[in-house]
Amino acid sequence: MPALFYKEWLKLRPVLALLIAGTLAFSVYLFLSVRHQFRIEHAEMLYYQANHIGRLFYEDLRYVPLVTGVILAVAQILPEVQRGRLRLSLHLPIGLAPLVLAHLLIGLAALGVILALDLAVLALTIGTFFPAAFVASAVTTALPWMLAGVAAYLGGALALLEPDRRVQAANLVVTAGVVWLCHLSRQYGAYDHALWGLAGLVALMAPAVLLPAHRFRDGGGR
Amino acid sequence: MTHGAAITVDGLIHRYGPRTIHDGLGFQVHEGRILGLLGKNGVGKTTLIKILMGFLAPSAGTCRVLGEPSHALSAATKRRIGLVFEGHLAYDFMSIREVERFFSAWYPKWRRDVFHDLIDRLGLPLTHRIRHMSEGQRSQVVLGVVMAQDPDLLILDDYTMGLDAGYRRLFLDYLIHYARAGRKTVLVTSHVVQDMERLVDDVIFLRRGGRVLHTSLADFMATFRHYHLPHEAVPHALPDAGETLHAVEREADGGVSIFAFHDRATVDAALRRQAVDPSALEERAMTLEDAFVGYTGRY
Repeated sequence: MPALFYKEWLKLRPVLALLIAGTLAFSVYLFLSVRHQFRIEHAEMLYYQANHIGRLFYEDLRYVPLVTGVILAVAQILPEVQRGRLRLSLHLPIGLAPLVLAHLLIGLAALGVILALDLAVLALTIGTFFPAAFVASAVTTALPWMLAGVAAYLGGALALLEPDRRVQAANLVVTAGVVWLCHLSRQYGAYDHALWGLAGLVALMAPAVLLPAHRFRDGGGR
Repeated sequence: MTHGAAITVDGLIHRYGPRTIHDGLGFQVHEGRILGLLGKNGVGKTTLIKILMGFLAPSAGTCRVLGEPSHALSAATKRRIGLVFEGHLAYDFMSIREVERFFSAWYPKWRRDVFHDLIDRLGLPLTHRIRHMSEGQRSQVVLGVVMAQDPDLLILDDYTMGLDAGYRRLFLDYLIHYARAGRKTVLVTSHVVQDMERLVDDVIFLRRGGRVLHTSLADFMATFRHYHLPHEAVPHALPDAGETLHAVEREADGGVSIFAFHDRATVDAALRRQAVDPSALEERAMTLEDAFVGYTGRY
């Protein structure tokens, strides 16, 4: 199993470096953007806007995890399915389920690092300019966006591994639906009571990836 | 020296929708033998090799590789099988050193000496990435990986694809030496039939309609014959192929080639029965490629 981590590290390290660099660049942008707001308006007015009107000062973060998830899925899975290269891995002396789940685990771990960085940047930025109570609110507001990133990654893996075009289209529709649910509301705390249910729904996409992998092995591979 | 069966195919049926590719196919590959799977495009060679490699579940029948169903191999059995995929599939993002580090972790019997013997001949640094290699260089890395695994059975799907004559010869020389010295079982397909003559012990010819001939190469070359009837001696209507005459084909110069599993006297008699004078008939020597085309037909 460590060999699989080694392979995935070799494959993903360029894109991980780019994603981390992108996240750092975004964090600088977010920080400067919020600071700019505080330079041109009174802090009390901004607290009021955040607290009573529900203005999000970090909405630019909303689709960043989604894009990160898609990029990571493509970077990890596309090289495996191009020319049926997944057959190399499928012939390794390991079962199909542990092989596929280990790949997902590695991808999710890499995604987790980037998303944790996103949340840390958010918490740091909000904590710098707003009272402490706003930090928890910002993080819980952004958590569904993080789940959208996970759904995008798993949906990307589902669609890329699927050898049947019709099922592939169905997978994309289901993924779009889950992502849509994660972005249904932009209100503070809108998902406070639905977050675990949403996380459960996204988690169900992980074992589903075994199905296209089976279909690939049993005749869909090119 | 042969022992048990490394591959057993029995009653194999495979269909793509309404189209039947194999209908009751059966054969065995004995341990230590090198078998060439030959056939023209569209006869189900790729389908069969996919089934044998475990990447296609057959519609019906059994296909056992080293005693296990080919599409449900245990990890231990997969470790004993080396696969070379068409196009020399490899992880393009790895360097030579990374390829070895990755694959050697899975195979306890990893033969570092075998791997480096092949790799050293490339004259490339170990940091060289696969994606920057030519097809020929990549084929050497792939062969090195498979040989270093020290498998009992090798399955190679059209290893010649994309290789120039030099790399094809290099690949073949190594494969022959490795398989013979290690008494490996090998199943190989190739579009370059002439290579098979040096490599294989046995051949399976797949023909349209699911017809199969499984024989030793020596027997096939000893019994399958090519006769030629010059243009002047050819009647207007070509003799019919049938029980005695396996195939009858008109050549570009107007002469006729007749292929048969029979001696001259038997072929003469068959021609006379069709009112064809066989006195100008002459037997011609054949390479395996000639015999392959004669047996499977040009069209």
